[in-house]
This record gives sequence, C-alpha cells and structure tokens, in this order.
Amino acid sequence: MTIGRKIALASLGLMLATGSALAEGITITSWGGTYQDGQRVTYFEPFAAKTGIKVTEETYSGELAKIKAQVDSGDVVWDVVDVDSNMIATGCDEGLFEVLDYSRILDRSKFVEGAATDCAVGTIVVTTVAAYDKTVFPEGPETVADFFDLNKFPGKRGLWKRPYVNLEWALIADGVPMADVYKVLSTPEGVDRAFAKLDTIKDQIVWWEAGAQPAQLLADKEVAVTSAWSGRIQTAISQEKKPFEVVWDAQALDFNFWAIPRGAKNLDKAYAFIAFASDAPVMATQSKVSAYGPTNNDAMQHIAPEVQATLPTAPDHMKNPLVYDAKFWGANGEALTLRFNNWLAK
Amino acid sequence: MAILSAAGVQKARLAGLVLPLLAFMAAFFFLPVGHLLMRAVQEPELSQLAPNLQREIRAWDGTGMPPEMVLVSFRDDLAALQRDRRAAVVAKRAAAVDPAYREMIMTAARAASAEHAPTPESLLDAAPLLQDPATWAALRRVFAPFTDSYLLATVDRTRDPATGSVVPVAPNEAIFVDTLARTLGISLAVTLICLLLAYPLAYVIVRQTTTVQAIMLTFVLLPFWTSILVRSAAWLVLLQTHGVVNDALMSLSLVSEPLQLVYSRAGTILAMVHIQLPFTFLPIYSVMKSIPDDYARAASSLGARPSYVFSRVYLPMTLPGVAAGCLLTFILCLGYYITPALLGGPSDQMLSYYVAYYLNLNVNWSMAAAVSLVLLIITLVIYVVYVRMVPILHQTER
Repeated sequence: MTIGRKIALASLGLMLATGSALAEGITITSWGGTYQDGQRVTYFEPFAAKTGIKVTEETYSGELAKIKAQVDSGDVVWDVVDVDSNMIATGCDEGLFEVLDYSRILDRSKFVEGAATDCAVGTIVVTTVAAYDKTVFPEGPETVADFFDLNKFPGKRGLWKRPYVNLEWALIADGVPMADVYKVLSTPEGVDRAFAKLDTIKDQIVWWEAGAQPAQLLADKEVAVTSAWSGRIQTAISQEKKPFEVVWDAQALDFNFWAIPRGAKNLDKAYAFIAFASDAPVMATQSKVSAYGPTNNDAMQHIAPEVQATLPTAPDHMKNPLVYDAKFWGANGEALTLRFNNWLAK
Repeated sequence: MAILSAAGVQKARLAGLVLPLLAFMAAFFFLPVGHLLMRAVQEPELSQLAPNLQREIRAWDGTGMPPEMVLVSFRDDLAALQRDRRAAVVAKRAAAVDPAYREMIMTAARAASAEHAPTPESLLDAAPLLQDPATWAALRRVFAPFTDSYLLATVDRTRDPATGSVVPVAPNEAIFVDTLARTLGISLAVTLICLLLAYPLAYVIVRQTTTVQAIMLTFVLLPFWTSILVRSAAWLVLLQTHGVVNDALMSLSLVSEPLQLVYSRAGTILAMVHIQLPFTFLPIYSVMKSIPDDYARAASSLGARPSYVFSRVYLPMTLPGVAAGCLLTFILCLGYYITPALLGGPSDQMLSYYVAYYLNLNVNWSMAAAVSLVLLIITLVIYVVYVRMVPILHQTER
C-alpha cells in the first residue's frame, strides 16, 4: 500500500513537473522535413538559447482542422504555427487566429509587400516553380507553355493535387497575359478554359500531395517535369547534387507565415518568438539552410551574393512572376476545389 | 431455487467482468461517434453564433421578404460576429447552398459592423443579393435546426434555392454517386479475387500434415504482422515506373515500355488483395478444418463422381466460411484509405478519401460526418443481409 502510494505521489509529482515545464516553454508547429530542420537551427534553438524559453516542436501538414479543434474546445496547445496563405485566407475570417499587434513584432513597413497580414506575418517567400532533370532534357522547358507541350517535351508531369497554381498556369500556357489571370479565372468561361487546357495533359499527370514528393518523383524518373516548391528543389540541387534545373518563368510567389492560434496560452512568449524570427539578421540565416526568400526587406543585405542568386527573389528569377492571389482563393477556393476534385475523378 | 440464485450470481459476476469494457465502449466509441454523426444533420455552431437571427428567421413563414425583426437581428448578429471575427463561419454555411452567398454574407457583415450601424434597408443595398426573397428563403433553411443538405449532397442531390425541392446537382459537381459505385466495385473485385485465391489455398493446406500446415499458415499470416502503410509503400517501390517489377520485365525484354502499374486501378486492387487475403482465408480454413473426410468418402462409396462430391457435398459445407470471409473482406475494403491514396490514381479514390478530405483540409465536419454515415449504413445493410443469410447457409449444410 505504502509503495503504491509512493508511486502515485511520485507520478503526481512528475505530472506537476512536466506541467510546469510546459508552462515555461512554447509549442511551435511547422511542416516537418528539411524545412523544419532548417527552422530548428535558424529559429528554435537560437531563440531558446537567447531567452531561456524552451521550444517544444510539433509537426503537421497544414490541416486547418487541427487548429480549429483546439480553438473550438478552448484548449489551445499550439502557441505558434507556420501556416500557408490559403489557411490565412479562410482561417482569419473564421476567427481561428489572433489578430496581430505589430507594435510587438516589427513595423509593418519593414516587410515585403503582402507579407504583413492581420492574422499572420510572413516568414519566407515561397514559390511554386517547374523543375526538370537536365540529364533527361539537356535543352529543357523554359516557360509554362513548354510545361504543357507534350510534343516538345514528352513525358509525365508532376502537379500538386490541389487546384491552386495549376489553374493559373493552365491559363498562362493557354496565352492569358500574366496580369489578367485572376480576372479570367473569376469568370465561368475562364474556369472552363483552364480545365480544358489541363485536359490536354491530364493522362500524363502524376499528382503529388506532400512537399517532399516532387524531388523524389524527379529522382525516380517517375515524371519528366514537375511543379514543386522552389526550396525543396534547390536543396536537392545544392545538398544532394541532383542534376535538376528550375524553370523560373511564371513562378507563383507566395508566403509562409507565423500565426498564433486564437486563445493561445503563452501569448507573450509567442509574440517574443515571432519578433525574434522576424529580425533581419536572424531571418537571413534561414536562406542559407533552405533556399526561400526573406520577408524582412532588411534581411537581404545579410545574405551572401552567391546565396541570393539561388533565391526566388533574385532579380534573374523575377522576370515574369505570378503573384499568387490568396484573396481570390479564399473567396473561390471551395467551389473550385469541388470542381477540381470532380474533374480529377472523371 | 438455490441453484437458480447461484446461476444468477454467476451471471452477475460475468456481467461485472465485461462492464468495464462496456463502459469503455460507451465513453470512447459510441458517444463520440454518435456525436460526430449527429453533425451530418445538425449545425450546432449556428445557434451559438447567431442566436437572435436563428430565432427570428425560424419564426418567419419564409414567403416574400422577411419582416423588419429578421433584418434587424441579421444586422446585429452579423455585426457582433464580425467584431468577434467569426462571420466567415456563417458565410461558409451559407456558401454550401450557393457559393455566391459567401461574399454576400461577408459584405453584409463588414457593412453591419461599421461604426454607425446602418439601417436594415441600407444593408440590403450593400449586398444586392439580399434584395431577392429567394435568398432569404435559402437563409431560412440554412438556420433550420436540422438539415438534410449534407446527406443529400452525398447522393449528388441538392435543394433548389428558390423552391426547396430536391434536384440533382450540376453535372460537373456530381461526385459522390460515382465514388460510391467505385467503392462498391473495388471492394467487390477485391473480395472475389481474394476468394478465388483463398479457397484453393485453404483446400490444399487442410490436406497437409500438422507440421506442414503450421509452416504454411505462418507464411499466410506473415503479412498480418506488417503495418498496412508499410506494405502499401512497399508495393509502390515494387510497381513504380522504374521499380523492381518493371526493371525485371524490361531486362527480360518482355515489354519494350515500362508498364503503368502504380497510380492505377490495377495497382490498388493488387495491393488490397495482398492485405485482405488472410482475412478471407482464415474463416474458410477454419470451416474446412472442421469438416471430416467421412462425408466425401460416404458420397464416393455411393457412386458419386469427384466433381459431384465437391459441388453437392463439400462446397455447401464450406459456404458459412466463404460467407464470413467474404463479408469480412468486403466490409474492410469499403473503408480503405491509405492504399488507394498511395497506389491509386485520382480516379481510384474511395469514399474514405472524402471523409479525410472534408475533415482535414476543407474543415467541413458536417460533410465528413454525412459521408461517414453513408459508409456506416452500407456496412450495416450488408451485415443484416449476412445475418439473414446464415440460417439459409446452415440449412444447405444439412
């Protein structure tokens, strides 16, 4: 009996101890893989070393449901989450995130245009690009139109299994000027036109769902050309020495953000972390680890020229970008996703 | 009397033994599952978010334009929601009826939350769709305490916004009937293939010595001990365009171009058969093991030819095992998610894919609940048919 009681007391003590340990730190959730490995070195460990606030990491794949479940139940475990712009477009109006007080982070004007939003602050410039294997196509595709040209560049195509960027690219390949893409896509005829263009390569498409897949599909020669998030391809080129090449034409410019789920328990520490991670010299180290652009305008001057040349924001790569419109997708995403899933299944 | 009470005590003791399990099942299975499934017909959120609007709009009879009270509560509830940043939740519910309603609700919410509250009439000017009585009739249905719209959506039906009658959805939005047919088709194909493989296998294994049986059984059961995810991923490695199978076929010059084995129906069914085979095999095997040789010998001694012995004596006696094995495989197949997701193409996804999609990505838990309910109902129907069939099967056994 006494032994049992001792064990009970000990485990109670242990629970209290871990409870207080959790209360001291913050929980940050991101997308896993090489991306989160980079964040650990760039942000989490230096932040913990500087402030003494322990960082507990979690991983997810952008399931807004996991945030909604916490907010609805009032038991918010995640203090800071790395989110994409589609999640912000719907989640901000649905009240899933705290409205940010920029006086506690950094002046809004310091950020790249579009990065400082009401509910989330940009951490990286991430772009969707096309990529191919140089050993397969020595004279590779150069434009989005080439991506859709099966005669000039035969072989399977990798695309993300979501409508985002695919519909835009289809219109661009079909000859719609870059500036009019979202205007055309807002009309029923424009949507039909985008799907008709996708139809021309449909039987050659391999659909990917996780960010790590495109580089793998290329390496396995499962696809000849694929869409991908630029940093993942850049990592494969610079660290794994893969013979890949990036097509920067019509790269879809977007952001990843830090956001605080509504009702987060460690609000002050969450702000402290986001302010730390938005600091120009700190953010600059991120670009060395995974090749995404910084969102703080002052960060560029801390980045070596040879690293700058690999980033999506390098002048050479910004000749013909597509500025991704998260607002458009917030308003039309549901209907277009339904149509897209339907089209997929047919 | 004494004996009876002793039996009663015994019974109570036995009940006491399973009581923890029952309590566990109730607390962690039936309650949460039931709660989630209720979402298929109910919107618990709306009554909390816009209580006044719900009360007023339900009190109205739904003809023509709504009275002033509805408009006022519409304005006030939306303004409060907008300040609390929850207006989009209502907008999302309304958008399920018509995608244009999302922007309408959000525009109205922004206008309503302005510093000087607008008159209800000027709110209608801000979002012109609100001037249409049909919009209000549709909104009234959005706020109904119970809704059939999610269940209707799972059979590609919807309510006409103006009249409220059930109509088919636009052809390019219809998705679930096809998916349902595909789910049943794939499950049936896998069940039949499993049966064709498992029956002869069980027939051979029962006829071995005990030692050989034990060894062969180990091989059959081996896949059981590996997770479904690992096995599906292993098939991916084997079947991909430059995978083991295609490389072997190419080097043997059996094919000139790599075959498309992954991201296809064939790959999905192949991997599912591999996973389901033990589930079909085991019930058949155990029934065959319990059939003595005497019956077949008796039939032969009376002059029956082997084919006659098999079809009229042996096969009927194994039918209960066949039915149990096929039922198990078919029901498990209905819920497959990870194997089609890894090995199938977009046109090979089954119903569970949409449960995951609505739950995780779309965050439309009502729709996820409705799709789950459809799966549950199909499973129950099949089970009831099976239970009815069992006595008939046992009759043929005799």
